[in-house]
Order: sequence, then C-alpha cells, then structure tokens
Amino acid sequence: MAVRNIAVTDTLETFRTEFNALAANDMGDIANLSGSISSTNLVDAMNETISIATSTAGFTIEDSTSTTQLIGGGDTFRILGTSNEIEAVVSATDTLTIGLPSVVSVTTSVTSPTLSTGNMSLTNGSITDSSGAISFGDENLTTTGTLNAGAITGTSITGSGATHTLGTIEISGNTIRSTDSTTMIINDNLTVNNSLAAGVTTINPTGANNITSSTGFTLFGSSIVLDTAKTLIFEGATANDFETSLTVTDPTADRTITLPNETGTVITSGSTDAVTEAMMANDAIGSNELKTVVSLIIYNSSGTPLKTIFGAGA
Amino acid sequence: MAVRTPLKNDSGNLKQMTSTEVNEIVDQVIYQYSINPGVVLEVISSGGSLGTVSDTRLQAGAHSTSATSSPSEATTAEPSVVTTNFSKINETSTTVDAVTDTGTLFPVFLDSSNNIQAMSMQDMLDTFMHPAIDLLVSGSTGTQQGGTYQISNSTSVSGNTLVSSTPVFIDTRADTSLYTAGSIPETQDQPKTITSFYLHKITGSDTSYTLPIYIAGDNNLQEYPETTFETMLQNLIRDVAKNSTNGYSINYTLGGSGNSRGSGLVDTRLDGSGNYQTRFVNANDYRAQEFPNGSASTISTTFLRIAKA
Repeated sequence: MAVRNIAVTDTLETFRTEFNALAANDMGDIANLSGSISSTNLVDAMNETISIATSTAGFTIEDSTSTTQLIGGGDTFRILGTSNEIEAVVSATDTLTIGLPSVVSVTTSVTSPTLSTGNMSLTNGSITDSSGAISFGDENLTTTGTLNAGAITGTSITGSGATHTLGTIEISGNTIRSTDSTTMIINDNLTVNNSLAAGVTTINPTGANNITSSTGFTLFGSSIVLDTAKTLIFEGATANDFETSLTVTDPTADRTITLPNETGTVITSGSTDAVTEAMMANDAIGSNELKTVVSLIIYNSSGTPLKTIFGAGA
Repeated sequence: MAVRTPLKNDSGNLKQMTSTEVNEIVDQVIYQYSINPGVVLEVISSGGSLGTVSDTRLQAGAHSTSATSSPSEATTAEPSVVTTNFSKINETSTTVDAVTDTGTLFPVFLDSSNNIQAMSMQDMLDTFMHPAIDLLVSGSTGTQQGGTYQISNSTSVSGNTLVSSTPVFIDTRADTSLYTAGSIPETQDQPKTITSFYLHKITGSDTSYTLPIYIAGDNNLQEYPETTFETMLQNLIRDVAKNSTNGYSINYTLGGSGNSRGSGLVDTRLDGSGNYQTRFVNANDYRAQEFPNGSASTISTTFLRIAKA
C-alpha cells in the first residue's frame, strides 16, 4: 500500500481523495451533500452546518411579503389553518401536517398541474384553462344534461338511443336530416368513398359506372362544362382499350356548334365518300368549295355574260 | 376577221368542231341557199335585167330585076346582117329580210379565255357565210354552187334544174340550103337555129353535218334543233347573197366580170360575101339575088358570169 501524504496546505478535497482509496466507502463526496446545504466544498458545508446547529436556540419566520417574526428558543410556534382552505395538524412526537380540508373553498382560483377528485361541483358552471385547452385524458365524459360546446372533437362521439340530434341535425340510425329544414347544407368539401344515391341517380366513385340512373339516363338540369383539357369519351359498344373522345380546339371566343334536329351520322374531316347529295342544301355550294375551281362563262355575241358555271378543275 | 370554231355535243360533252365539220356546215349553208336562193334568175320574154346578147346572121340581099338582062353582081344587093337581141335573163326583185343578231342566235365557240360565247354576226359571216359565198361564186358548177345558175345548150343537165324551156339565147345562121336561084326572089331572112341556150339552176346537195351548240332561251347550252339551225342559215345566206354591203353579195352579169358559168352564148354567122344568083324568068324578067354564104364564124361569145359584189 502506498503512503498517503497530505500537506498542510492541501485542501480538504485533496485530503478526501487521497484517503478515499483507504476506505471502503467515500468519506465525503460533495455530490452527496444534502440539498439543503448550499455550500460547494466540505469546509463551507461544515461551517454552514455549524451555523445551523448553533442557531437552534431560536429562529425567524418570514412570509411572502417579507414580513418576519423571530421565534425564540422555548417559544411556541403556532401554525393555524383557514376554514375550508387549509388545515394544520400537530402530532407526536414532532410532526406538523399541513393539508387541505375535506371541503376546500378557494376564493379566486386554484392552480395545480394535477387535480384528482371524486366529484367536482362547479358553482359558477365554468372550467377554464389559461392554455385554452382542458384535457380529460383517456377518460369517458358522460353527462345526462346538455353539452353546449363551441367545438367538439374526438375520435368517437356516441350517445344512447336510436336518434341523436346535434342542433337541428338529427342522426337516426344511418339517417341524417335537418329538423327545421328540408335542405341539408354542407359548407365544406364532401368526400364519399362509396356510392352516393340521390333519387334516381347513383354516384359511385369506385364503380365501373360513376354516375348511373335508374331511369336509364341521367338528366342534367343545367349546362355541362368540361374543364380545361377534359374530353367527352365514349367507350362504344365494346369495353376495351379503344374509346372515342369528343374534344374541341382551344376556343379563342365563345363558340356554338349546333347539332341538327335530325337523325343521322356526323361527318368529320376524316370521313371519306360520306357526304351525300341529299345532305347538300339547294343552292348551297359556292365556287369556293370546289377544288381547283374553274369557271365557264357563257357570253352572248356582244360579250355580255349570260351565265357563269363553276366546276372543279382538272 | 374572226373565224370561229363552233362547239358541238360530243357524247354529252362540249367539243370544238374540226375544220372538216365546219366545212360541212358551209356545205349545208350552200344547200340551204340552193333550195331558196337569195338571188334568183328567171327567164322572161324580154327586158331582162342582165342585159342583152345579140344574135346575128346573114340574110340574103334584096333581089334585083331587069327586063333586059340579069342584073350584075355589082348592082345586086349584098347580104345583110340580121340582129336579134335577147334580153331574157332577169334577176327577180324579191326582198330578202335582213337577219338581226339577237345575241344568242348564232352558235357558240370557245373564246381566248376558254369561256363560251355566242358568235357575232361578223363571226358568222367570216366562218360560214363568206366561205359559202366564195364557193357559190366559183367557176365550178357542182353541188357547192347549188342555187346559182349556169347556161347550157341543153335542156337537160345533170345536177341542174332547167329554169325555163325558153332559150335565153339562140344562135342562128342563114340556112343556105333554103336559098335557090329558081326561087328568086327568095325570102331574105331564112335562118336556121344553130344552138339554143338555156338557163339552169344548179342543184345543191343536202350533205350531213354536225349540229352546233347555241344558247337557248334559258341561257343554257343546247344543240340546235335541225330546223331552227337550217332556217337560220338559210335566212342569213340569203340576206348576205342579196344584201351584203361588204363585197359578198352575188351578182350575175352577161359578159361582165367574174367566173363564167356554163356555156358561152356564141353568136355565129356566115362569113361569106354573098352568093350571087340569077334567074331567067322570061325575056322581060331577069332577076338576081345574093344569098348568104360562107363559113360559120364566131362573132361573139358571151358568158353568164357570177361574182361577188
């Protein structure tokens, strides 16, 4: 074992560390000092302890307003509670218990991070929190009265009975209706994941037919507008990879294309040998419609035109 | 001058006529003229407008008589010339109405812009009428001269129609065989007909041709109805032949300018100085007379001539 040398000029801390190796337990780690001692070294702690020990003959009490009262040795230090607010109980041999009575009355407010109670009665009917939020944790919130709320949020709101009314909105089974109107208004987006039946019309976002009607046709009561770059697509008689799209060249002004009041087939620029004589209105074809148009003018003998005949050129 | 090429119906299409087809229409113009000429000649007894052609012949001189002896030749009258004037060909004074272009009366043609235009009157003249007149007044006497006239010394000429059996000219000469001394005094003028000349109208030929297109009343193009087209052609060629003021009327003369038509009207006469003959009737009657004699010689030849005027 090495010789431990401590100089007279060494600190107690040096003394301690040198001799700790000689003891089974640490003789005085400053980290293990009581929290009630504010000193940071052993000497100061020992001095502080001595100061406390030497003042047991009396002491001073002070409240939050810095009002002080000296309690001398042999004096009785009385600790009294306030009715319905706080109570103090002295018990053997040297115990003072300060607590709340069974019934606590707080004039202004109670601030507490956690409040546990059996039943809580609010005389003015208001529970507020400075943070603007009151959490009931994972507890069920039950009332037989009326729950008035600016907003209710939660993962599940349930009630008893078959019919529930939220304001003028009545929920009965799987039926929602308004109790004071024949119109339900939803001011925000409405997403329906499955079929939405409206009278004879069914909107089925997941089905092969997104909109169907039991009448065999869907009647739109107003104009249908296809948004930008949207087309009207016809599957045709066979459901396959081929469809016919009805689209328009980007209009630069309002246009109207009128389908005639007749049964027939629309002719397009891709049609070949499709236009029949009967489709031509009398006196409808002008010279501009003829390919490489040529004209034949019939003159009288004086050179006055009598008739001009237009035809397609060679 | 604007010679046009009329359009025709070619299986429903319009097509320009060939020059042959145009010429066939010219022939039809001539035919139309032949059946109703604009200038008509007739044979009248006298005073014909084409003038006079004279026939001369010798006749015996007047006989001489003497109671003592035969008159000498010197004192016997020489044969003399007898002249017969023929003015039998007359141009009739028929009036031929002028044809007026209505603007769409005539056939159509393709103009320089390949438009269709009706031929004008001048076009019709240049294309059909004047070529027809040129043929009509030529010296030939075939069907392309139909409706014009010629002279023949026969009453029957193939391809011709005798206008009149009355000769338009008779060439006579003294018939010397009729003169005999024993018959002195002979009738001085004892002619014989040498040749009679007759007026004939050449017969035209209705040859086939292609009807052209014209502008009908509704200003549509239509092939001429045959009668319509031929009537128009006839009226126009008659008008031109009769009334042309630019040198294409048909003019006939006897002995004038132009192409001769048929036989010349030949006047022949005996060229002898007289055949002195005497006759003793009795001792107090001596006679002498000079009869025509000699060879026949041509005194003149006059042709019927046709020309443009």
